[in-house]
Amino acid sequence: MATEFCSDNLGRDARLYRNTGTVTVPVWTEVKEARDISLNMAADKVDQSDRSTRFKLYDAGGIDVSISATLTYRSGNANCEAIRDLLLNNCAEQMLLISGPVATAGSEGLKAGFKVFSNNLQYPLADGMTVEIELAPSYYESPAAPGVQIAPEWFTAT
Amino acid sequence: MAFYRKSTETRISEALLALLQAGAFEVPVTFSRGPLPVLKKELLSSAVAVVVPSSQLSGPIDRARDEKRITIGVAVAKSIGLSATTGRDREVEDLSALVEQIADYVADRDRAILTLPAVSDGVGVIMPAHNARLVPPVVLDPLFSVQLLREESIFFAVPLFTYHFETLRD
Repeated sequence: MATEFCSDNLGRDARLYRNTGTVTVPVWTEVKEARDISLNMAADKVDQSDRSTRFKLYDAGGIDVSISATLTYRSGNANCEAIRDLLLNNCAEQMLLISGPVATAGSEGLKAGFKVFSNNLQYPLADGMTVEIELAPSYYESPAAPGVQIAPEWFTAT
Repeated sequence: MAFYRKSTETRISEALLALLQAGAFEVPVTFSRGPLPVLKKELLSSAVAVVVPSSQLSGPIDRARDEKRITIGVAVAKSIGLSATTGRDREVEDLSALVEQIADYVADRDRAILTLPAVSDGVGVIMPAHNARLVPPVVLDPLFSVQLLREESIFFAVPLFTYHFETLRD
């Protein structure tokens, strides 16, 4: 139908991936245990006011990025264990939070080497176990090509 | 053409009925399963409890699994004798204790997971065996129907049990 409109931006369509391959040949493994996910991006607000105008002027400093998510926790689950181990071992892993399947052209999101800064396990009396995680970009190099930084980037699938 | 598939609430009702029939209760009670509770006085000379599906909520748990939360009621009914007031009150108290005993029995931690047997069409399994887990709280509100007691001399109470049923999305 010519006038039919189908929304394609449901939160449920977004995906959090871990790269379980290499930087040059990525294998994007979806973290299907994820429930609600949010990507937080905010730039520092640098005051640049002067006498040129009564209005305060600002510039953007560094961009603070974090991903927070709640995962269904299951003992022995590969994704839950890998994310927990990143925290315990102070290691970074390449991850991608994207608005749709990575194989679908036009899906977009943030790709970076992330470290894990929170891995809070919840054991409610009347519900299943969950783990709340917080990720933030960290200095990241490909293990196969050391010495070359891979910076965070806004990624669009092609 | 025969139809073998069963709804999730039917499977849970069947398993809950089997659990109740395996229990022992101080007030004699007959358990059955159906779409409606029994409210005809001539059928309520002794306590009757009918497992009745009540509601279903479904939605995603995460990006791989869906869940259904299915609420099943156990409708307990009995006609109350029109004897002296003291006797009638005592019978209501005994039936209230029965309802509470049923609720405690089902909600016991060791019985919180119901095993739903596989469903077969006579040739093979069309619905595999599955588990359903009881989710607190057990709801008994009101404690019994004041209207039915006053107008029909029928004790009627329905504790509600909610079960969590999880499936992997394709």
